[in-house]
Amino acid sequence: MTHTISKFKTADGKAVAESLEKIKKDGLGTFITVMTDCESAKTAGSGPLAGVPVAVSDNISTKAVETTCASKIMKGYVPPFSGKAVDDLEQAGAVIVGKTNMAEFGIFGAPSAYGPVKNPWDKTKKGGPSGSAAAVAAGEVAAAVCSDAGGILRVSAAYCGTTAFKPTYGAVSRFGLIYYTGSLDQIGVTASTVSDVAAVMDVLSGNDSRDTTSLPSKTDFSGKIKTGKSDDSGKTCESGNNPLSGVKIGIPNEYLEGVSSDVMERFEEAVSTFEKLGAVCEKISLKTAKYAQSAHDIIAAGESSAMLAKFDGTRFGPRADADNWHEMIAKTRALFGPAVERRIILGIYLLMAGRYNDYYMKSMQIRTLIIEEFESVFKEYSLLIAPSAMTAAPDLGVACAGGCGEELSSYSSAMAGTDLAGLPVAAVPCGFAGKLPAGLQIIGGYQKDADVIATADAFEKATDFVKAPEAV
Amino acid sequence: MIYENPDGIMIGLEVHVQLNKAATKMFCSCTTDYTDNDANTCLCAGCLALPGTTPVLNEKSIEYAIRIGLALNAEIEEETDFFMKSYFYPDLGNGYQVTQFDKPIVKNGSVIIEGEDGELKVRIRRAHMEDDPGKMAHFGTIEKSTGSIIDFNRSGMPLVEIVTEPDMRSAKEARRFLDKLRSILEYLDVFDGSREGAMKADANISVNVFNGQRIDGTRVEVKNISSHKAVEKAINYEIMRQKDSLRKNKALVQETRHYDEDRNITIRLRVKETADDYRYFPNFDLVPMIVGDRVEGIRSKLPELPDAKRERFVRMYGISDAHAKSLVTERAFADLFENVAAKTDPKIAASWVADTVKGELNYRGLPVTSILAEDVITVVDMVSRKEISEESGIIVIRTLLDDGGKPLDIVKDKGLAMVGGDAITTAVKEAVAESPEAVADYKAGTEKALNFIVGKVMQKAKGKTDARLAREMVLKELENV
Repeated sequence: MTHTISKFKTADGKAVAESLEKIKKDGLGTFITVMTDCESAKTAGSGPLAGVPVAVSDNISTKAVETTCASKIMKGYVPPFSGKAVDDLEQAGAVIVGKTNMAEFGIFGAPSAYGPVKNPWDKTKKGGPSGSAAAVAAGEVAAAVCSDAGGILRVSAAYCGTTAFKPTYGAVSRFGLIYYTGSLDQIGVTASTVSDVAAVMDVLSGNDSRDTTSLPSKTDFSGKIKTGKSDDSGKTCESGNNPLSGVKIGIPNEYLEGVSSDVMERFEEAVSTFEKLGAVCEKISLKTAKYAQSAHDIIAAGESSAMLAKFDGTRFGPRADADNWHEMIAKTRALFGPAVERRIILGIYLLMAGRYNDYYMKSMQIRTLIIEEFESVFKEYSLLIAPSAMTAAPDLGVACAGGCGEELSSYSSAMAGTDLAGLPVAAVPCGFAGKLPAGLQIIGGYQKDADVIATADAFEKATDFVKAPEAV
Repeated sequence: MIYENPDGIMIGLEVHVQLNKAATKMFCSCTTDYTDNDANTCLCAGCLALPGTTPVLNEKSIEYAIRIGLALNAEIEEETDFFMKSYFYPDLGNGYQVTQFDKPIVKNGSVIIEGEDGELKVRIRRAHMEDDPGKMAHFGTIEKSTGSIIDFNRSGMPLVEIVTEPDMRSAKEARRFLDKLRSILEYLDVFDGSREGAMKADANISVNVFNGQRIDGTRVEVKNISSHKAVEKAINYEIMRQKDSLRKNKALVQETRHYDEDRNITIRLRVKETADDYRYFPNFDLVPMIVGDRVEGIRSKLPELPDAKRERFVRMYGISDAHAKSLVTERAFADLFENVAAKTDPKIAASWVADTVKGELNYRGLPVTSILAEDVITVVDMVSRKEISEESGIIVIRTLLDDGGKPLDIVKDKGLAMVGGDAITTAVKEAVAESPEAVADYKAGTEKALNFIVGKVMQKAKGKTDARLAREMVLKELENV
């Protein structure tokens, strides 16, 4: 049983009510704010997502609806405007039913002030650093729009068995997104199937004059999906067709380091599937991979020290009582969670005169080298693949949200590298490690979003991994 | 004449110029013309730095910065970018200012001013773009305030910060630099200096000679001085303070001071133990810009600037350099002169516009737009044809500025038309007859006595005659007495 857009559409107009009902009962901590009156606000439209319940992460501004970034420092903040993504979704007829839980400010490893997201497959396991995937897996919404830096969307999708997509940097306007690291954060989507993800991406894509990093023209996401005999359950591809014939796929050895044996088994099976579909898969080495995590950490920390400076209690959000302004902002800023606080302090430290050249500047240089290496790799290979997460969903008790042992800004060097280069990545389920989903990621060259989507779709149709847990 | 600069004064200025002729702010579409509006009414979510707002660069501000650079004889950077400058302050919503760092859009320029000893070239180190923060008001003084309020109308105003080398050697030179800069900026139509907060300066001052010996002076920065007059006063105070400290053998420290205009003193704001650390780093919300390709297009549309205009006026109209200099300080003023000169004798026009009209406007604090060229032309014509006296001409100008109206009507209403020959002859005869003592004094050799008699004539003619003419007639009459 899966929760596709078309299934929500055929729910006789009860989709939104059912969605709200499920959210109310779930006990997974997927949502921070539920828009219980959203049904009355919904407009009967004929857009591609007409009447479809969707969620947006709580770092995307929603007009007149509290937006907290899962941080105490934003509690009670009600934006006077909506983000571009929200406007686009509503324009397409979607009904936003709530704001999903997330790592504080979307910072990988920073626990949400609203508690962890539980995994709909097993409530004792983590649902990942974004509640978006759990909300989709639990059938609460057809799709969830969520920003992704460091892999918070892609890793969550891997843990919950949903499909997720982070597009080329700039494909979706960041207007209204409360990003903590502007050069790495990018809005993406998770849904049950690749075609659903692509349909929502098509709605979100397009230039926005309010975001100067926005790409000049609309990206076509679903254009290359083979329209064979895909039906709701989307099982097999056209018989006798080799949709990936001539496609050369690279598998960076560095992206396999530390992957658990059960996830690795599923990944190796997936490699065979790609080969059966006509692709040529080869192991490769990425020389810059080992620097990606550090560069990501330094750049994200530096950017966060500036982006999170505006939270001072002066103009919006909670304000601490104090005798003077300096004391007031110091007390107010103590509302940041400890992991966020450490990230900001690290950023300040790294950007100080005398250190900037040794750390930030070097990281920017490494970033350029990473981009150049990807460019040369993509001259030979159409795509790269790797496991999305190194393990299946870890226990809830594990210290950091992603299951990592230390506080890093990114889940893995694969996530860090693709963020730094702004590349399109799809995360798709590739079977189960025990009772929990495992996932793989498909990485494309800059602006090769449609190729990534088409390949993910071919893989999905050739396999039978689009599944949802029993009702929780 | 060589200016000795006995105290080894070195003054550098950092001038913050609001590009307030741009219709909209630097990163949003809010108006830049907020001066007459209530606090916090000309702003958007971006001006308030609400989360989720993204900056969109106003292309006009780039064009204006390039115009300024070209007018300052400077180099324009081929590719330029923005940085974030971080510091916490209540009026700085984002917690960082968007500014430029090692690739300012403008560098290596110069401005020629009238120095203590003739022409002085003040070198421009750089000029960079940045956005203005909001504006704070304190209850009480800056040192001891009991509370503060913030107006974010100013937040996001496009600024160009112009940084000079420490080439000025006196407060007067600093003021002349600012006057000249303001004049250039207004010519460029990027800046309206009459708006509040349009131009602010930070002055770096050091005294480098003590007891006739060269010393390594201590650079002190006086921040946020809001008028040219205040800059001159603040610098003079600071020079005096530094010299006084040196005399008393008190150590000077590198520090930032605030100029208190009411008390005419500078007050310590903070001591710079080390340079401020603003943690500059590249702004990832704004991509680097190639601007080199815009330069020639902008250069071709640059207006004639004050120095060039001054030379042309002297050459073309044969007027004095002093008049030309006075006429070109404001573009509209130079235009007024040229309009009047087109229809009258240019030398006479220069005198009327530069001396009379400018003086009367300045006295009233009125802009050039308060008077029409055609009215000045009428007045100059009437005086030239001796239909009215010069004195009456001035009265007409004053009346135009105070009450409005048309010159011909004013002449009629006030009865300013020159009194005919007979009436004057009578007035002269009467005046001489009524002033026997003065006549005697004059005859005894007291020249001044003549003025008394001429004054009497003018009185009788109620100013409707020319003083020079009256004088000649009195002299003639005196021959007969």
